[in-house]
Amino acid sequence: MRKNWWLSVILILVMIFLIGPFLIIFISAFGNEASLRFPPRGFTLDWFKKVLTMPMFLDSLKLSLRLGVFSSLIAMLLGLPVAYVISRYDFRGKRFIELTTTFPVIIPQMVAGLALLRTFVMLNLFSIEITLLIGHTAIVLPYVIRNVISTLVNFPPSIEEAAVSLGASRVRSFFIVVLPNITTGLISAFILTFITSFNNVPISLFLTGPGVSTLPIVMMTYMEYYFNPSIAALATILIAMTVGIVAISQKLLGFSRMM
Amino acid sequence: MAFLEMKNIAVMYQKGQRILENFNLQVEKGTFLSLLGPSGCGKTTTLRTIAGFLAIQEGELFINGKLYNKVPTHKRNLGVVFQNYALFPHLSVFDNVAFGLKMRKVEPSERKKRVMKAIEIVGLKGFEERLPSRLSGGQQQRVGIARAVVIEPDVLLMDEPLSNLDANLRLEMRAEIRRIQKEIGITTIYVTHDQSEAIAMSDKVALLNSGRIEQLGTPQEIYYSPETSFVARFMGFQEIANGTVSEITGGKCFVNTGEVSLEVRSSSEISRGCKAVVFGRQKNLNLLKERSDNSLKGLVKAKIFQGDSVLYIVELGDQIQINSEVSVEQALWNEGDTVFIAIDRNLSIAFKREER
Repeated sequence: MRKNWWLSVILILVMIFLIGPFLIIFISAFGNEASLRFPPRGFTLDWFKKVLTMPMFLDSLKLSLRLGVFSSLIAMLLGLPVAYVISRYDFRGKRFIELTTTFPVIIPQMVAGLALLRTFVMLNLFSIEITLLIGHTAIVLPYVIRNVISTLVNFPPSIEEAAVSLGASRVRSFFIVVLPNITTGLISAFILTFITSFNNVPISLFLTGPGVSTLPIVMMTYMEYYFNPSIAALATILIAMTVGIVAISQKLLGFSRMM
Repeated sequence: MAFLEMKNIAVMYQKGQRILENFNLQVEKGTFLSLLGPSGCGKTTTLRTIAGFLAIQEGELFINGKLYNKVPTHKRNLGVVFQNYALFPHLSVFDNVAFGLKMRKVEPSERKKRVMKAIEIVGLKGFEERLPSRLSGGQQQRVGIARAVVIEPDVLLMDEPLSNLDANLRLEMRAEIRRIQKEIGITTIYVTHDQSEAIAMSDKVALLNSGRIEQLGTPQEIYYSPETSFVARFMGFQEIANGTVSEITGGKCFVNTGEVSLEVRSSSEISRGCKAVVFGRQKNLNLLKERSDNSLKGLVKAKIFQGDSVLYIVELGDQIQINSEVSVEQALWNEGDTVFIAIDRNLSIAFKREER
């Protein structure tokens, strides 16, 4: 059989595009010079030690983790009933609600951030962290709704009807029949929203304030002044974390089915 | 009053079109009734209305003398068996069957006894701990049936329970379902679009057409004595001749086709002088060499050798074509030959011609 050599070339090119940037960051994180360069001349782990002890990074990391977890949880609580109603019932205005769940994906996040800035920060209604939490929840909510809808659509309504016919009320059958069967979908939605919140720059940019900033914003600001491998080290740590989460969930849930 | 009674029921879907209107149905206790009809005829709607999945806009639904219009599904005590089985994927066979008893707060020892008995009735002993995904389609539907009957429902509702199974298994499950139904003597309403399934399993068959019952009767009545041309067509009759009714006497009538006067059974909808269509079953049509009493002339359009038989396609005029299978020894005609078709006076029926 003759090999399709040009297909192999394309495949290799794509792999370089996909993995290349990550490899460059990964390798330069171990460089021993004061500025980021590739390939590095010497090897050191100092940058890792440095970023893990800098309070600026640690505090913003903690804030980003808190924001990711809580905005995802709140979005889940708000989004699940909405997704359920959309996937199970026909009603007037359903199309409109479905459309609005795509707004935050369509509207440039810079604009959304500015809008939130005008409403919350200018009015000084809440603390910065609460404002950030509101902003992040708004950004991840559509992802929750869309993901949970697609999970629910794959769960036959007749199974719920079976539960109801056997004596469970609608609400009860949701908790004892639907919920146990969509946990995989919910967890995958959670991971997706967590990562979306964790990586978000445009919304956070407008809503952060003195002393309270998310990790991506801190990294961005830091890079404006210093261009040393500590950022690469931090990025490597973050990538390792994400890969770890995905790997664990794959082991536990059969993640490949979910994404 | 019948055990289950639907009186002047109207059911609408969201978009406003009425699926059922002025719908009446009576089912006696212990009866196996099939709702038969083409897709969109309202049979599933009827079942879902009884189950309470659809709201009744007008009319009344009585079960065991009690008005059920406003009773929510989970308080109706009905067993429902679904086309796609609808088993709980996260629960074992045992827990699936036990679900309804748990909801009814039946105490665990009693619950276990009843679940095991139901599992035994459907022939799944030894499969209690399996998850539904590890069962075949036929086994899954047995779980579905056990789960529905274990709660001792007032009525068992089955929505095309066999249509996802392959042909052989379907035949086997027909007998199984009928056996289980007789064993526990449960009033059953069974939805199907398969006429052979309906007549093989039922005590009574209701044939539905666009939201109305066209005919309700025993399988024999439905099969041999269709009352309308719709029922006749659905039960495998086809048009064999057009003509005018010249005489009606004692259940028989004469239809003048212009060529001959055919004596066939009359239906209630025809009268003297009206335009009529004669319906017959293909397998009751015999080819003849010469004209005989009660026969039609036809032209052989095609002769198809099928191994142990020969299929003739015969044109009878008026754009009517019939197929007739004969054994190889009797295949005397070739394409273009004239042939005569014997019309059985007891197995053919005349209906009024629908104006087009």
